[in-house]
Amino acid sequence: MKAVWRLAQTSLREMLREKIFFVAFGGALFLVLLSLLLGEMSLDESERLLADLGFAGVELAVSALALFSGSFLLARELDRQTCLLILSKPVSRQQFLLGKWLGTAMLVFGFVIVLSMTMALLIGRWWGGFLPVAASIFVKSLILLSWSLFVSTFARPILALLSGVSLYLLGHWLGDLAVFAEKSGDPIRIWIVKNLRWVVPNFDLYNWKSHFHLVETPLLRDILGMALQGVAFCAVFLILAGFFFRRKDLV
Amino acid sequence: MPMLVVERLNKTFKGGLFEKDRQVLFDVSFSLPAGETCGFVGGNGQGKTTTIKCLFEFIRADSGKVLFFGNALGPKEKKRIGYLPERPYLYEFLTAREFLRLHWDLSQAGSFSEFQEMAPKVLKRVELDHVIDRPLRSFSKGMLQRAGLAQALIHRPDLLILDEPMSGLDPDGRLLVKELLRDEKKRGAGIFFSSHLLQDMDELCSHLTVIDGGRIRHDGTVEGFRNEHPDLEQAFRAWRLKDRSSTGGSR
Repeated sequence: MKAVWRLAQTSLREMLREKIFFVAFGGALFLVLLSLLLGEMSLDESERLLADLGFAGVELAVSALALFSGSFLLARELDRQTCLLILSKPVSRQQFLLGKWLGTAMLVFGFVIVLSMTMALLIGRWWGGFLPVAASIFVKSLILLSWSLFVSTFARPILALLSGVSLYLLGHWLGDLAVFAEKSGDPIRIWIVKNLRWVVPNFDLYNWKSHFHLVETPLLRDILGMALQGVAFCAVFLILAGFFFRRKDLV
Repeated sequence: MPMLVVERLNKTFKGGLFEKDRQVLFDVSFSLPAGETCGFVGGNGQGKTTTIKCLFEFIRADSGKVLFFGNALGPKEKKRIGYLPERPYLYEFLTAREFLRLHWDLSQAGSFSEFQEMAPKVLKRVELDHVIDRPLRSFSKGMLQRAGLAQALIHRPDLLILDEPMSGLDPDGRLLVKELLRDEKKRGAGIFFSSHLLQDMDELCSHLTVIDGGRIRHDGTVEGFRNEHPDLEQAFRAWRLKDRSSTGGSR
C-alpha cells in the first residue's frame, strides 16, 4: 500500500501542473458565477437558479476533469515511458494503476470540495442536502474516471474519452431508454435496456445536483445505495483495467 | 550462480490490419556471470532495447525464460536491480532530491534517515550535488541522464541493467559514466549495459553479448569476439548477408 500511496502523491502533484486542471477549474468557476448572475436576475427563484445551475456547472467541470485525466493518464506515461522506471522497482502494474487512479481521485475530491464550498458560500446554506449533493458529484466522477482509465488500457485516449462521454450520457438516459423500450413493446429492446443497468451505472438514481435535494436531503438509504453502486462500478472497472494493463506490451 | 540467465526468448509483434506480424527476437539466450560487466552490442533496431524490455516484462516474450539470481522476476529480485531506460524521461516537476526519494521509497531501500545520508552521496557521484533542489525540468539532457543513473544506483543494487547509458552524453559525461561503472564493478555489482559502440565494451567489459537481426551472434569474452571478428562493422555486414541468403532476402 505504501507504493500505491507514494505513486498517488506523485500523480496528484503532476496533475496539479496540468493545464486541463486550470481550464476545468476556471470553467467551473465561470459557470458558478454565471449562475449567480442569472440568479440575481430572477425575482423569486434566485436561490433555486443559483443552486441548479451552479451545481450543474460543478458537475460538468468535475466530470470533464475526471474523463480527461482518466483517458490520458496512462497514454502520457506510455508515450514518455516514465512508467518504465517505476515498474522496474518492486511495484506491480496493478499498484501503479491504482496509484495513478488514487492521485487523480484525490485531485477530483479537492476540486469537488472547493467548488461545493464556493456554492455553499454563495447560497449561504451549509446544512440539509449539501453533503449528499457534493458526494453524488464526486462518486459519479470517480465512476467516469475508472471507466476512462479502463478503456485507455486497450484503446487510444481519444476513444477512451469518447466512451466516457457516452457512458455519462447513457447513465443519465437509462430511465428514458426503459420508457421508450416499454412503449415499443419489442421484447428484445426491453431485455437489452433492462440488462444494460448491470454494465452502465444508472446516474439518474443519484442525480441530486438541484435545489430540491439541497433542501430535501436524500434518504440515508439512497445515499448508501449510491455509495455502494459507485464503489462496485469503480472496483469492477479498476479490476478490468488491471487485467488489461497487466497484459499490455510497454513498447 | 549467474546473476542473469536468458533462455530462448522469442518475440513477435502483431501486425495491424494490413501489416504482417514481425518477429524481432529469435531464440535469444545469454547469461551474465556474477560480478561481471557484460556489454550488449548491436546496431540500431537490432533488438537490444526489446530484449532489455523483455527482461523486465515490459514486453511479454512469446516464449523463453529469464532468471535473475536464479529466480523469475519478482519484487525480491527487483529490489536488487538498478535500471536505466534508453530514454530516461523523468517526472520533471520533481526536484533531483524528490525524484531520488520517490525511487528510494519504491525500492524499499531503507529509512528516511538513510536516504538523507545516501542522496547527497549518490548525487555527488553523478556530479549533480550542486543542483539537488532544482526541478528536473531545468536539467540538460546529460544531467537528466545522470539523474537517471543516480536513481539506478541509490539503493545499492547487486545488478545494474542500463540501456545505452552513454548515449547523448558529452565526452566528460561518458568518462563519468565509465568511472561509475568501474566503481560499481569494484563494489561487486554485476553490470549489463547496451551500446552500439564496441569501443565502450573494450574499455569496460569482460563479457560481450552481440545481437544482430534479433539473433545472438556472440555470447562470451571480448577477446574471443575480437579474435573471431576484428572489425564489428564487417561482422554485422557478413551476418546480414548470410541472413539474406538463408531467408531468400525477406529480411
